[in-house]
Amino acid sequence: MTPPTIDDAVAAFVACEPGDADARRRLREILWSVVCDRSLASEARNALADAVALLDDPAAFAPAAEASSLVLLRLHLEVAVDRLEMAAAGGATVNGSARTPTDGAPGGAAVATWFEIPGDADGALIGDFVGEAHEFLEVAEAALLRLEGAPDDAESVNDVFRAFHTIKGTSSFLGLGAIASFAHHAEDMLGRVRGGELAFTGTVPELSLRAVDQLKALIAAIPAARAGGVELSPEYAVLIAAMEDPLAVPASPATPSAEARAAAPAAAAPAPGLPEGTVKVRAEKLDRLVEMVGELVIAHGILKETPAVQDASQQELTQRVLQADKIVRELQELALGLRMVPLRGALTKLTRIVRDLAARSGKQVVFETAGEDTELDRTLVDLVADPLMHMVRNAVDHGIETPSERLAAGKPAMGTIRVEARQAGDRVLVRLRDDGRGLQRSKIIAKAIERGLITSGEGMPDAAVFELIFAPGFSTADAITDVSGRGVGMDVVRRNLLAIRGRTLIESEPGKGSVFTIELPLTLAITDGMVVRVQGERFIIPTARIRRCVRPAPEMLRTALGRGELLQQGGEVLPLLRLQRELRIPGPSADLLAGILIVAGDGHNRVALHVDELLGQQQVVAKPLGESIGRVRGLTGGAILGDGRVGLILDVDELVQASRSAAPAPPHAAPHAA
Amino acid sequence: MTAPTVETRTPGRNVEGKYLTFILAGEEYGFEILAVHEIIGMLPVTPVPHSHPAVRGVVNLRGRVIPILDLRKRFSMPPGDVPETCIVVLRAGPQLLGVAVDAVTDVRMVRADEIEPPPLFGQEVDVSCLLGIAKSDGRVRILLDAARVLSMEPLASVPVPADIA
Repeated sequence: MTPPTIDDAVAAFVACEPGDADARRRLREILWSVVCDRSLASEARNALADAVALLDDPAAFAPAAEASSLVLLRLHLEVAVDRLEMAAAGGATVNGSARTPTDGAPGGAAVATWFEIPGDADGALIGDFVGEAHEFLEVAEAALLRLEGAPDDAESVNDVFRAFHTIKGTSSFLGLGAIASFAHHAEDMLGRVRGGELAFTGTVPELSLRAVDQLKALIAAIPAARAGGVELSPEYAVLIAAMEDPLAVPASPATPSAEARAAAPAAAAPAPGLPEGTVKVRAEKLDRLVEMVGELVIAHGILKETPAVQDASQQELTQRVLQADKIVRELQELALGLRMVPLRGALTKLTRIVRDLAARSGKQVVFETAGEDTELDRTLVDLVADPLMHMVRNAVDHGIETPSERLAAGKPAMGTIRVEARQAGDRVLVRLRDDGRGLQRSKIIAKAIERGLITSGEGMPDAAVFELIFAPGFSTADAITDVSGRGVGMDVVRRNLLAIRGRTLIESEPGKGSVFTIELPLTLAITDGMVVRVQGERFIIPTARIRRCVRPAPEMLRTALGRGELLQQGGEVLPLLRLQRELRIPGPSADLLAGILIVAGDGHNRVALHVDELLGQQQVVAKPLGESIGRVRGLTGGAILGDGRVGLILDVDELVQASRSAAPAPPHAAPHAA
Repeated sequence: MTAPTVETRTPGRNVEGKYLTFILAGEEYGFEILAVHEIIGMLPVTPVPHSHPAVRGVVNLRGRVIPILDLRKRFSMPPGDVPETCIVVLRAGPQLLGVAVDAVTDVRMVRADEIEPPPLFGQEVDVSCLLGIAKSDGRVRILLDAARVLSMEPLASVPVPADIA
């Protein structure tokens, strides 16, 4: 008797009717013998092992969970088949959807010819996907055109790869099998280019562009596919075959791109409209508007200070200026508010994703959100949406255990994922907490060693181990599923956040769960600031970072080791930092007792800042100091003060650091001659 | 903080064109007019601690924060007796940078045959920012390479003087 193959497994899966436990047992037996075949690609075996594990979970096939478990099972099988196909050229292909009329017969190479979307698909999510996919395809197209001039541009290859990758991931998640399968092939081809296995020459550029065109056509066909299905164009199958082996295709393809477009599903539909009463505005126009309003506010401020307006005898003029003043201030608030959007939208989207993912993986998850009204600059909301999506997927896929595992571990069968957003000082924190199994240190280390990221995990602190998740090319998924992606992503997420001085923090406790925190600066948003005077200069301290202000008395002041100054108050001892000295402002050394101490920072990271005077509170919009100056120690940027001059915004965290280092030389300032 | 991608020109060649001329410490200088974004009167400057000594500070240019460069310090000249009167705002890509000057004098056409390559003053004078020397109607004008002046890459590597303790 010949050992069963993956084709037998697919056939057995097709025979699995809901409720047929015997058919499932047969499938499991076949899968198990395939898994034991060590000659198969390990990634395919992993996927099959996942399928076996799923079949072994009795909870997964309870009547309520069965339908989603079968879908998940199909996903595992598809991944396995794909992997095998990649490993051995000319392998069998499983159709993108079990519902397609031309379902692949075991052993035969079959590519979908029919595109249909299940009636219960979520219209809103698909609408989002269409918009997102269009953007990605534009980016990919631009990158492909750049590549024609510079075929070695790795960044452009990455752009194209990411576009295909993201479309694949999202469409697979939404059940758009035909799109997912096509994008998957396109991604594979670009993946080979990215890995240096394939040169971006010959037919590859042409195929890539045609793939972009085909994806556009497929996306345009979504409405028809939802309405009952649509025949896929011949180009679909031609391209899939060509992308599998680009070197085998003659350099000038028989089907030019324009023709392909014509042959594509004809049912093109206009892009879904925006919600009623909403207008799309280019972000740079908005920025310019905000800038101009700022200009108006300042010009108006100067007008208000003009002697003629101040003149008591000019009552009418004064009154009219004051009236205009009110309008200007309201306008400013409105303009600044235009760019601020609540996080609600980003969080709501997650609810649905968690639900669907949990259903697919046979897990039970309660999803809670808090702080949906926290406002962020819209560019930041976009930046936080991606990492959140990744983290939620990770939490469901890898964090939360199956109900049986949870019960065995003495936890409630129902897992909890909680996302909360809040403003903490001049930063916004978005925290994702799950009560799953926690990050598995040994697994991460093993994977990192396998990927050549580290040679040994010996003595590495947990935090450093968890950081490895963000390394390029890393994925903790044992089995690579369509849903959790291939480990592109987290490094990109990290890079995007770093670009705006955001941070990601991971805390995890084995068996208890993990906490992922995304920390964003508020630099693009409005900050409440305390304006302080140090000698002749004014600085802004974000009000939210200020704990209290203290007028110093002699008994509060201490010195340590004869030099470090300390504030001792209420049983608490804090380092004292003279801003004049720290900021190198010339002038006579001020008397500590004559000034004010501002206690700023959080928790253990606090410092008492000595300033000469508090000048008052002001709302400010933080702006960068200009590229020529770059990052300056102790400052987060500048803001326009009421009189039109620039005030510098102090970076409380860095001042805390400065107060701690005994040596005056900071790590990232220019070398000191001292 | 990347250097602007403006092509650095070879001194003495291909520098014919219109120049904005200005006075600094009694000498006349010129910037290529194409690099000049605008000229504004002197604005109150906010000094930026821990930044490069040649950075005078930042100003509010209609709601935008831009750095102001001290050309005297950039060229290691002694400080002036009278405060500068205007700021020449230079542009390289999206980047703006102001240069404080004593006075703006003229916009004039400088022909190639009037331009001589910059002399070698010796090692203590930085000539990398000079395009050439223009001689016409009995006067000498020093033509500056705006892209080099804007480039803070070499600036950032200059050591910062000791702390004021």
